[in-house]
Amino acid sequence: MTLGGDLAIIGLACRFPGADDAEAFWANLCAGRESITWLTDDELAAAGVTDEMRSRPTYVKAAYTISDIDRFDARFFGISEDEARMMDPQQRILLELTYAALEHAGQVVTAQRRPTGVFATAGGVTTSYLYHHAARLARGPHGTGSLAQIGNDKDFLATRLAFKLNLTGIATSVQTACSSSLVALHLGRTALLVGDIDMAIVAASCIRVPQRVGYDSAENPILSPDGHCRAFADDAKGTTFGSGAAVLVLKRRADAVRDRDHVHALIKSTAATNDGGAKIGFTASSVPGQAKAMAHAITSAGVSATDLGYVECHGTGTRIGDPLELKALERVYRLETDATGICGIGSVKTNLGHLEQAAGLASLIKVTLMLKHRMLVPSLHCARGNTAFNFAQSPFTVVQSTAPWPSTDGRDRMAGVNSLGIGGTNGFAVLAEVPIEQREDRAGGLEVPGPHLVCLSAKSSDRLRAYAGRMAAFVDDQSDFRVDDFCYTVNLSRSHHRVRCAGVVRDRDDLVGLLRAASQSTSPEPPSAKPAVYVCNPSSSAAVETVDLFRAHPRCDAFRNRFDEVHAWWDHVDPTRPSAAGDVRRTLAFELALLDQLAAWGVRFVNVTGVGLGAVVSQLVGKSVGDQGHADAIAAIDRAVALVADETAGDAGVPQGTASAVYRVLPASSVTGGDVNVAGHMTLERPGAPVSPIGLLGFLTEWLISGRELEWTGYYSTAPARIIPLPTYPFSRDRYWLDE
Amino acid sequence: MLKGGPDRESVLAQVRAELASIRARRHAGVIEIDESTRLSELGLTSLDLAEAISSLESVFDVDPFAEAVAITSITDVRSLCDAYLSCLSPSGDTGDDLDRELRAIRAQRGNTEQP
Repeated sequence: MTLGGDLAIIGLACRFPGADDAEAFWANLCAGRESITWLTDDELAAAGVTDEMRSRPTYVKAAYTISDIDRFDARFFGISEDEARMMDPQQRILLELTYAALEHAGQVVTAQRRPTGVFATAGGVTTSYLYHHAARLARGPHGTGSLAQIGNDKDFLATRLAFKLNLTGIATSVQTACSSSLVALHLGRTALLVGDIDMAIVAASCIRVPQRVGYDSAENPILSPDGHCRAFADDAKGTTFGSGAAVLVLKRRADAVRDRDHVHALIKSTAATNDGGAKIGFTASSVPGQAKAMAHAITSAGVSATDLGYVECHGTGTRIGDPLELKALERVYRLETDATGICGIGSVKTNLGHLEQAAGLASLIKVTLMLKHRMLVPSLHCARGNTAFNFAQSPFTVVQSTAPWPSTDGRDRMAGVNSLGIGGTNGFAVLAEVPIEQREDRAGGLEVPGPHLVCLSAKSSDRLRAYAGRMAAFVDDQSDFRVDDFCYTVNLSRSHHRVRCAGVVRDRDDLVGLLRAASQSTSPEPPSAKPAVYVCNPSSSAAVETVDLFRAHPRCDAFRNRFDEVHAWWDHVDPTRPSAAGDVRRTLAFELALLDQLAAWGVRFVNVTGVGLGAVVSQLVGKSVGDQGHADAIAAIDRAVALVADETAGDAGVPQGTASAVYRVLPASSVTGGDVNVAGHMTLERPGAPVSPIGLLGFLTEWLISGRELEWTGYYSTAPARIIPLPTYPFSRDRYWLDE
Repeated sequence: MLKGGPDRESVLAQVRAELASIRARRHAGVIEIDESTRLSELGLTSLDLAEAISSLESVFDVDPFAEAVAITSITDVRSLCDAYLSCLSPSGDTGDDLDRELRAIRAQRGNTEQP
């Protein structure tokens, strides 16, 4: 029995040789770039490679490396210097990448509110940080529970992510050698489809220590004698191993559509098998094992092999292994067709080397980007196909150049990803592009009119400058861009830290200006926000026009409901009483509704006080109209005939030094001239600018910059926009390493 | 080179002799080799096995691993003998267990659940 059901890839992040992010990776793929690093003798010597080793004719002075494996933003994740230094770079880099992938998906906050599972895999023991520094680490505590163990054992890779990112679904490490990524995907998919989790993180981190060293190709016949991986080629001579890390964020497709997520591609199905014992040896591959994995996957997807226009192969570039893999895949095709040349194949190992446990995710992200852009990209170094496989009579052709990916009969483009592991576990996944009607549905819809509130934050001033700069460059570079989507994504889906820039923007130019200014700001980091007290001291009756503005505004549902409720209750009041006057009734309903709307947006006060009519308001906050308090208010209003705020009582009820005040109207005695500003205090209404939904944005900006929070889900409960992929947090690059 | 029609016993004898010869050159002890002996029990490296196959190709004048048989599917002496016999006297019956298994998997498509 197989489980069907599509998944949506809603976020991704990667660090591969030659590419610190997915955009750079895609550019390299389109350019047909091989991201190999040639090492000098000095570099090799510095890495500890002996003269004798370097001088061997079989020594290959090449590696596939990623940048800055010794750098980490420990402070961001609340990790001490000592712990960071002891921690495997595979764990550290995966923390940053997983956070980036969740930001890319717009799910940093949401992932914590639902069961989110983590399925993660790490590189081998013998190329690990622990192995390299074993003597040093062994001198200190290294038993169960030690920093050495928790920072380096594979048991803690997924659980570290779950702890630091507050993810409460199952968190487990997955290890099946080179097929680990696909198997992690398979387990994550299964957990989503049975409903154990609502979101899945599939992560892989294979970082070799030391990284910048070559290898002796004579040590193992599967190693390339010159550093190049020539998958499917007749002159294939072996593979080269490298470092890389990547993360995918997945949801059930129906949930992604419901939540208006940006979907990069679909996962139609996955399957995993093991070869069992029917093969020549433990490390050998098996045609039946591989073929069955593909057969299960396409069956589960409900498609035919001929629906796959492209298969990303395991493609290690070994002379014997490549034809066997193709023969296995061909067996599945030949059950249903004798057609030739109907399916493109490729191997990202020709670009990146073999990333072992991360190899499958490299393949998955390559195919995701191909489907997203509807482009085929070349597999390198295959001028002539391996003669041990009859390409001419097969369904397969090696993709040789970057070109648009033609659709077959207008059907959605689909691809397969094949992954094999030493030890015999095989994985296969079927992916598809997002159908055109889903892309169009999401693209449609009117832009929510501005102005828009936006708040970007970071852990430090330095990081905020970098973050704002990154965002400014991105916004400036976009041709098809909506300000409402940008603000919605940043406000709703990014974490909120203490150091902030915030503002009200009307259009793209405003937004770029705000971000550029923030990227150069030298403002000091704000102190911690004090509790806020609200002083309700309306200086005049609420104008009918002002009420109408609020009632009509799409973000003011709470105002409308409360105003109508309170105003309607007033029908019970004796019309001859002073408190029954239309302006009194309207003003009281207005002030209570205004407070309700602020509360719906998450603006919370430790206390509400007031003067004049405002004192009555403060007594009625949170009370239903049926409460005796409302009946009592009538008598109080009758007594308080003066509805204008008592100037001298402007600071009534505000504790000194322990709270900030938010005034309904700025007390006249506190106006300093020029810009209205009362140090440490805020106001909802400014002279010459009656309170309005638009005017409140200025107050909300001050509220945010002061370090206080909004309930963004409540703010966007009406008139939401769309989550869009945006640049991710610029982690600092501080060095943590066990130096000799 | 082996002359005459294919004979299971003679193929087995050649295979046993070749494997024993390689073990002797590696100074491995004498062990009983029969059809049920797994190749992994023989203590030979992959290079040794490649050498054995190369020799047997010369003896039988056929190379079953060029197209028909995946080398990785050979687990024991019996399957090695079967590989040469399949080339020496093809029966026309592919008897392909793998195809049957794959068709059975593909036939499950009607049972795929769509949550």
